[in-house]
Amino acid sequence: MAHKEQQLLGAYVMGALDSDERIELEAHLGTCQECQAELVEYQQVTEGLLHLATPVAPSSGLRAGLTARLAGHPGTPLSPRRPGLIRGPQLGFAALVVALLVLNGALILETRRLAERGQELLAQQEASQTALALASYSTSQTAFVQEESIWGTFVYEGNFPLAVFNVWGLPTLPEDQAYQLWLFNPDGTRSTGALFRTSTSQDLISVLIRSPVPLGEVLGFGVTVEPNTGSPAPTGPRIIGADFDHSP
Amino acid sequence: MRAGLGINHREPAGIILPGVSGTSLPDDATLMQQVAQGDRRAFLSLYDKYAVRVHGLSLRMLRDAMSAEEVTQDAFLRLWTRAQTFNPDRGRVLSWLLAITRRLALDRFRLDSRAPPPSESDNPGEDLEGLPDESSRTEEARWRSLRFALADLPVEQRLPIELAFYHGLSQREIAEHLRIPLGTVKTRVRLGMDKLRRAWATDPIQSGRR
Repeated sequence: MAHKEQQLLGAYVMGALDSDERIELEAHLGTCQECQAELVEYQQVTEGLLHLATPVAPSSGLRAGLTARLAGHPGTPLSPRRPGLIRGPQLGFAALVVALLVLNGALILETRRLAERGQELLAQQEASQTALALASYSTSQTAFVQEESIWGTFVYEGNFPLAVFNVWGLPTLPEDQAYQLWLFNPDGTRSTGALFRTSTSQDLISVLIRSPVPLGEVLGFGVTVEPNTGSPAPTGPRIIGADFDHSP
Repeated sequence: MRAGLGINHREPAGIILPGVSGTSLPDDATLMQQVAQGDRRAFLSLYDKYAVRVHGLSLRMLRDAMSAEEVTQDAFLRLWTRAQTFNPDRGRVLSWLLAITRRLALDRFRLDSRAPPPSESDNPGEDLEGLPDESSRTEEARWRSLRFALADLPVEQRLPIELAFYHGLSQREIAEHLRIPLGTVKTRVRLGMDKLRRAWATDPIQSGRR
């Protein structure tokens, strides 16, 4: 037998009822098994609606950004970058907080600087963890490189598309420049393995290298100075690099 | 300069290494248990598997690439921080993740005080390419049937359902947005959702539609 409450189930599962109707329906659901069964069917419909969107790949930077945010924080809560839904009285408080933040420009700049420093440290930690993992493989290789006062090691395992470049003595660059590490592909092209900068606070940095193919297929690498947004192909002078010898 | 030695390409022993996929992955529920224990490799496995689905829904709802990417990121951060709350007895990981994505996208609508989309329904046929073909004898086949059922709805029934589900409007807000009586909206939502429910309850294989 149909109930008038049954007519509300479709809107209810989408959260589209006004509060008085929702309360009335929920009270009814507590006692009506027929409506409970139908509710399950409507919930399956809304679950199905979630799956109908065309799959779209996000930018590759999103994965890298997530990886950086998770590095060094296993299992610890991370606050989403944006707050969730703010309701009622919370809105006034939130507006006050926002207003204070906007007024205090110096605080925001400092927060941003600390955030950037935090990202830098997280990237360092991720590189260190990867180096540690690579070091545990008996098949990992270490390429030693030196150019004048610059020393480095390139640690990789041929089956993996990840490597770590440890380098000492790279000069600090102007704000508008960065070091770009290029991987030499068998077809003669160059792929970006990393884009990084050095800090005046440390002489040694470890850089996580991402390769489009396992490192066993890469012929070598080189580091050049490029604009801080990176270049599609090397344009600056080669600072340091090496060819890999994969012969047994 | 020459560097490096010969490489033995044997399979490495199990070790946590970010971004590297093994030859056989554990199932989603196992991956979620590993994520709950802070396993970043398991997290990235789930990301690689479902990022396109999460981002597809974000983009479908928000229609803005930057906002959609932020919601996609937030959804996966939720997966990371709340993996321990996932109960495999209550559904699939993907459905759980998409439900989180929808809530985050709706929050974004409200936070941005964004106006609903124009009073025109999407072209429901445009999304069909992303769905598995009808030979898929899995739950995916039911999604396809549901998509066809949604496409078959009269636009006056489909539009309020899309405004409610994908944009978080109440029936009262839909009536104001479409400038039609509230009672009319209620009737159209009820009729449309009832058709979708019946379509979902119909076995898509046995029905042999399309």
